[in-house]
Amino acid sequence: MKRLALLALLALALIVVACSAPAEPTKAPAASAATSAPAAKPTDAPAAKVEIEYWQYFFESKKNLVDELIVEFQKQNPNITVVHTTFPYEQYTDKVAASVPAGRGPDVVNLYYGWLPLYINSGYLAPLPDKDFPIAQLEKDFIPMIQIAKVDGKYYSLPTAVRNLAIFYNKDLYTKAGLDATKPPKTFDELASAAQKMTKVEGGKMTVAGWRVDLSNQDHNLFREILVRAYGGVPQSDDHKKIQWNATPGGYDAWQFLIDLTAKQKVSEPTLGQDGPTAWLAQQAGMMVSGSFYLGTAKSKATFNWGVFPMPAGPKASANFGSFWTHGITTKAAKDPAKLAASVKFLQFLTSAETMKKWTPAIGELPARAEVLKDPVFANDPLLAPFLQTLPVSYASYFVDEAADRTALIDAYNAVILKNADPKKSLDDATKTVQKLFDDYWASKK
Amino acid sequence: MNQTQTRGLPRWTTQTILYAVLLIGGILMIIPFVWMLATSLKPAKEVFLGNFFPIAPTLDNFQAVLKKVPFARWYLNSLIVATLSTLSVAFFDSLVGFVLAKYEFRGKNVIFVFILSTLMVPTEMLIIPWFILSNSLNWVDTYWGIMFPGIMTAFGVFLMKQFMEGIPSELLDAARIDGVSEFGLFWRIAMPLVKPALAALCIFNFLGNWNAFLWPVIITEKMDMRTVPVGLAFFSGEAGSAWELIMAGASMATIPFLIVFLIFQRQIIKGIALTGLKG
Amino acid sequence: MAVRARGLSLGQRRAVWAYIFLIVPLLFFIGVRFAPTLFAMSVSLFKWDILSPTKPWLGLQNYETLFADKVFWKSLTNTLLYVVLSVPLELVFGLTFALLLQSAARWKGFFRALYFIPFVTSTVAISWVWRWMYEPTFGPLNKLLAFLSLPEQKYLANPDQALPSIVIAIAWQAVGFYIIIFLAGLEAIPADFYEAAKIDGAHAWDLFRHITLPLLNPTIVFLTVIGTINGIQVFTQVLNMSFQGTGGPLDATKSLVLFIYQQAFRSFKMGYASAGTVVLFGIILLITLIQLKVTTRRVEY
Repeated sequence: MKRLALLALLALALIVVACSAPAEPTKAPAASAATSAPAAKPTDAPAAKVEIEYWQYFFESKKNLVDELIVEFQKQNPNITVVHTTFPYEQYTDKVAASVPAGRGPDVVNLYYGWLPLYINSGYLAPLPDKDFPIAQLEKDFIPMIQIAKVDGKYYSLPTAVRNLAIFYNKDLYTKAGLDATKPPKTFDELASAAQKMTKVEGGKMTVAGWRVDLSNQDHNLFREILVRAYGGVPQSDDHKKIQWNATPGGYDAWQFLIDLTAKQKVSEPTLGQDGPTAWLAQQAGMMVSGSFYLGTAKSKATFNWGVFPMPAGPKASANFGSFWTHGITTKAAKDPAKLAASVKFLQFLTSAETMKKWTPAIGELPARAEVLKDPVFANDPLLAPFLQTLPVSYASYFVDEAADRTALIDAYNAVILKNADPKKSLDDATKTVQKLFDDYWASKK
Repeated sequence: MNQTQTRGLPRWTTQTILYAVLLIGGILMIIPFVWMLATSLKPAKEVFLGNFFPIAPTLDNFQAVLKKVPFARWYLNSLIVATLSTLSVAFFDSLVGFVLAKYEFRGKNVIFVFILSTLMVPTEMLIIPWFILSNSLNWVDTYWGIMFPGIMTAFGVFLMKQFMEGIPSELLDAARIDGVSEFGLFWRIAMPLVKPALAALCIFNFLGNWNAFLWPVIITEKMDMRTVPVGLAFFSGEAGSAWELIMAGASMATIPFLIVFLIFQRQIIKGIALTGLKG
Repeated sequence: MAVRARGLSLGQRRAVWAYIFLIVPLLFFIGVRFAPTLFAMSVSLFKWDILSPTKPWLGLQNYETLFADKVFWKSLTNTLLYVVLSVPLELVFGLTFALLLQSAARWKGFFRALYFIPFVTSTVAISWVWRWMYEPTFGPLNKLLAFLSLPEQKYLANPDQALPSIVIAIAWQAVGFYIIIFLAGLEAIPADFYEAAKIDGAHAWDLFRHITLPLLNPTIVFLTVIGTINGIQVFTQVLNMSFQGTGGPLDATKSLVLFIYQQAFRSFKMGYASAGTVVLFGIILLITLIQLKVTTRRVEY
């Protein structure tokens, strides 16, 4: 009994201390950081040696290319040293986030565009200096997709390259199914019927999925930006405040189409071959939706003839999902004029036309500058052309909590497929869940 | 010691059944492990084919792991961190366990439950305060930084306390009369008596550190300071995972311990001096 | 030194030594474990997205939201299921195989090593293998079921089977640990206890019930408590094995720690995650105290 009493006391003490812990700001308030940026010194070559740090997630070809680029950059700017650090993909957000409260971290950071609202809101990124990156010029030079990264009329980051989606298909299985590999499907209905022909069932068990639907990979993006628009809806209001997945009959049609692939047409099984890309590589899936960044893996691992065709169109429209990893300058760097100047130079270098020309062949992502995109070398590349073709109709989704947004769609999909939930209701639920995320986000911004 | 032997059945029958059960259990234990080894010997293009054994076995994956990344360095880092923290744990956890088991003093139970309670918060929630601390003390990218959260463990304190309780108090009192110091009681009397538990603790702690992942990811930034599990995470990426390389790396991280275990397991489990222990 | 000071009784002098031995470890546990824990827990009263320099005060609002969060309750029940299913499985198999190993006349070392293999192996690597074992179309488990003309299962993709499937993999990996601890405990039981009892004509079952089991009490207490604490914090296996890697399908396998991790580092709701941590802490503390109270009876023999 005595021991229990002591414990209760300990627990109580704990709560008291916890309650009294002050909310100490670990860094200067965001406001001062934001104002310090324009006050920076001119960006002429700094006289003293400066070292800046660049962080990105590990993607082998990206890491290697950036290493090469840095050598070149340092040759051009002998006073600047760039330290390049990479972290495992899955743990990258953990690492970046955990470093922030400690006041540690890079000067130039690579972030997924979908994380920007949060990082900008908290004052982690500094706005790009107007004189180095005039907004009007940026919007003229870069493709419109990057405008999703504009927050409160300012840019805080710029990408080197963007990616969108296409259909990766197994040419061997495609031909074996009696289809003509030179005439890929142009609409989603054609795609579904091609998938039906490629699907193989042996002894009541699906052994090849014509089109492996996998929402945890790219197919949540497929729904949001591609199918909803293709069936006549608009996924979000223009001010990014309202989720409109179920606002039009088209939204429900799009959802039903995605569900039917598994439920009715039976061209996919939720577990077949672990996940979409794995099943596709193992020839357990004829087709899958993926991004141009997957080209490298496909080249090194596929044991069959394969190709890529452009995202098909729906009954109402043609659309694609675009996204990008983008480089921003942190407020930490912006506080030091010399570091800011060096970071600006590095960012200009990373987003230059010359860098983009090297980037695309090495990594597969498409250049973010409109003028570089016009280079016929990309349009003539049979693997890049399908991506390029739908780039003008590629839309980036606005995310406030990318992980929760995706989970809502995955759960809604699983509820229908695994638990026979009503498709309409499941879409309504997902919309409501995500709407709540947006409501909370906008409410907290005031 | 055949306390499980059933009376009435001849000895060879029970032994046969026993070995049959052990063997079936053993096979079940080893299949996933063999699969891991088999995968490490497969060319990248075979990994997804679903065949259990490699069709065209190759050592390329091992070569790739050793050449592509500073695997040897990671190995060394893991070894240093795991060894040093295990030494520290072996000493301090035993000492605390000894004190909590064999001394009477005010606040003993509170201290025990206090230490045990530190096990109850997931590491995931501690990395931010730890990182703030490490950054302000310049521990990022140091061995000390990787291992400091684990130089003493509540797990080990608890384990050692349980085993230290088995040491008869009369034995300690007799030693006291012989003029053994209090520290001597711990070091020369108690420690030899709990060797089996100590060996178990060392193995678990070493393995725990060897496989530690989340904290080393956060505390290391230079490629040369990574540990093996962190390094292996670099083979999982946005465009899928190179399982053949992960398996090769994991095999290299596992097999040496199996060999060590196979050689020393008798000593590890049996311990040496159990003579003083009489319940 | 104070210890040598006169006027202290023998007991007091020993107590002073106890405190001296405990100073460094206690400083460590306070500084490296306790203080960060307080930090992590105090955050639950604030709204904090990790990135913001400011933490607005929220009072108990995080807790209110938490208790109204269906996913939280789901992950809490899942967590309790993980413990209730895995700990007895590990204890029973661990003790059974430890006893079998002890009775084996030959190849003891070989078998010990065999059973220890899973515990040594990297969880990430082994989780991948288990996922393939459970794969419904091509995986060996369903092939075995088909061979035996039994209905094939969906395992990780079936919301009702996913959690037990992960429990099996967890227990499979942990059983080596239990065996080693049990063996160490069994070795500590003096052989003459059995000899004496055998002379009295005791049966194997009697020996087990009246000698082995009571004398293994500290070992069982230890394994139960540690097994429960580990079970409640299950994370890595769920992350690496669950359908789509997020504790699915439909949160069927999501553990409390995975929930906390996702809130903290995927949704950047550190305050909210912290509230979950406080609840987790409270539950583990309560269960541990009850376990210690119930299981550490005085053993008589």
